Amino acid sequence: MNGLPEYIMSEEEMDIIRREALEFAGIGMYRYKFDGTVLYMDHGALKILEIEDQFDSPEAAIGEKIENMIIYTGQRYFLRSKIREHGHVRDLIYHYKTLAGKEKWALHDSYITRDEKTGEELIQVIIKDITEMMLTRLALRESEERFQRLVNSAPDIIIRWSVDKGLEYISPSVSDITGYTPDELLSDPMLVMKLACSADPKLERDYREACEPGFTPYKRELVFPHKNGSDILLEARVTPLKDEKDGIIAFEGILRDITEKVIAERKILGAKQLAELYLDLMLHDITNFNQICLGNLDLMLTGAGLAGKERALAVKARRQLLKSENLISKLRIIPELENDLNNIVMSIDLDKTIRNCVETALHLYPEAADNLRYESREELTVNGIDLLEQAIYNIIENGIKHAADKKPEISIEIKDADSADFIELRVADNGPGISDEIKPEVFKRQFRRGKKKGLGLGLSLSRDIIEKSGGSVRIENRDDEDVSKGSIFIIRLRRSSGAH
Amino acid sequence: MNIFIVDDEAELVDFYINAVELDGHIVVGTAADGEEAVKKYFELKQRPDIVLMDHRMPIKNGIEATAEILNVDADARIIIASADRSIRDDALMAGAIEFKQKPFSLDKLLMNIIEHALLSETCQ
Repeated sequence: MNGLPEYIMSEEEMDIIRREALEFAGIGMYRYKFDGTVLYMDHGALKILEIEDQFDSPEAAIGEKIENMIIYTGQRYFLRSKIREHGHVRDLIYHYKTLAGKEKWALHDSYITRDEKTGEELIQVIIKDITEMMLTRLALRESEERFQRLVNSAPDIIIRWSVDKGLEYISPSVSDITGYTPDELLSDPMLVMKLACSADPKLERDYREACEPGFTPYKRELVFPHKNGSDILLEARVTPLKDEKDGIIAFEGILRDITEKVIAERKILGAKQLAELYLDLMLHDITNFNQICLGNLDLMLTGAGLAGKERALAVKARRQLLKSENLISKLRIIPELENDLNNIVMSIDLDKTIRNCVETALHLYPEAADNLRYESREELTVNGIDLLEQAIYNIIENGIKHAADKKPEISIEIKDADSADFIELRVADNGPGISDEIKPEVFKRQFRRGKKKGLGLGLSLSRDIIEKSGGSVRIENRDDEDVSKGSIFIIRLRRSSGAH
Repeated sequence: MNIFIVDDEAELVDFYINAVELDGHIVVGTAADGEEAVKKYFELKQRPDIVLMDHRMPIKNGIEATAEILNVDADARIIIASADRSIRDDALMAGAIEFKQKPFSLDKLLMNIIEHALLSETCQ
């Protein structure tokens, strides 16, 4: 037909080709008597059964018992009994071990045939090695089981929702969270949606929108009615599953019970608002009373009528009043610092700020008058939030309060920092000194040393204010050799731009 | 100087009166809330040189009252005094010439009044 001479294959040649084709496809054949004696076996079978080491050719296997060629892992003679029963057994997955102990699986197609001469019933077997496929399937099953175990034990609800069919899967944790079992919800695939929409009317509209093309994964809180009648709050994280045309066919997601979390958050918020309200009312009213007291004391002290001991008592009362107001100022700062809108960094006249601090300190602590030194450095502006003055004052006051023998020696100076963009404000005191172990603790809120009075607020507020100003504060010893000689608080602040 | 005092705390109003009168100033009127302050301000025969205004008061607060007064009399010179520091920017935005945080000493109050009075005279 195509010009080539016609070639006719012999039966023997055809047989070789068939055998090689079967071998290539991982298929083997053998035939044996019902007593197990092998009458025929090809190379493919030899290879699948992995008995090439025992029998160097298919012919060598003839006359041997089939049960000596493998290790049975299931019921012995199972295949023979099935064939006897049905005459033909198709697609039987047979598990066995090789003589070397290796686990294998083979797909069997077996049927009864007869010896042409004797008419004896024989078993003809075609086997295909499916070990790799079975190992993959087992690994997959194991992985699925592991995943299922995770899903079953997950505290959150895992859900799959089909746009056409409704609820397709819901994990067992739904029982603990909603009171409904998975079976109850799966028996009516629309029930879960009906329940959710009854408690959260906006859900129906949101769901319709979610089914529109272009919907992307999202997070939403929804109210769901618990079986006991109470409402629970769930956080839903949902991912849409799409078909080839980008149409949404299902949703998969996680529903997390956030009821307790939300209740706790609301309680905390309520308590915080209440605390702020009390603080605000208290500070406002107390400050007004203090203003009246302070003003009237000032009026008394302004006139000439008050002298001697009475005058000294009025001065003392006035000083304590100012200290009380100073404490109120610190309490007022806490909520102010939390609100970033109050903490805008601006350009601050540092010299004027320090002079104000010194003036306040001398009002409250006249005993510091002789040894509170400040080397004024005018025309220096730094970046800082509005509260910077309070931060610096607190550090000066800390030095006065902890002075040795109640005789404060405070020196305040401004120095250039290692970077031209910064300055260092150094406040040195004659307190008992701060060891290296304690230094990091000093700026923590409510830190107090020994039996000293106070709330432990001042330095923690100072650090917060300085950091919000874009600066930092650290402590060094006044004397490298002797920590007890006092401390130097070094406040590093950024110069305002163009103000070098 | 003519001073108009607005505060809902009667004892505080008394102190302000004593303080400014001690320094030779005249209290031309007082009010106990923002609404009364606006009404009385425009009823005064002689406009005050300085209004000393509290912020947190019933009916109408100090910032609202300040804005209303300045809306009609742009030359009004109002000092807002409050314990609440957080309203400072709002007070200045409303047109107050100064925000004073309570409590303040007598010296500082009088010094402020004098400063603003002098400034007022210079401007005139």
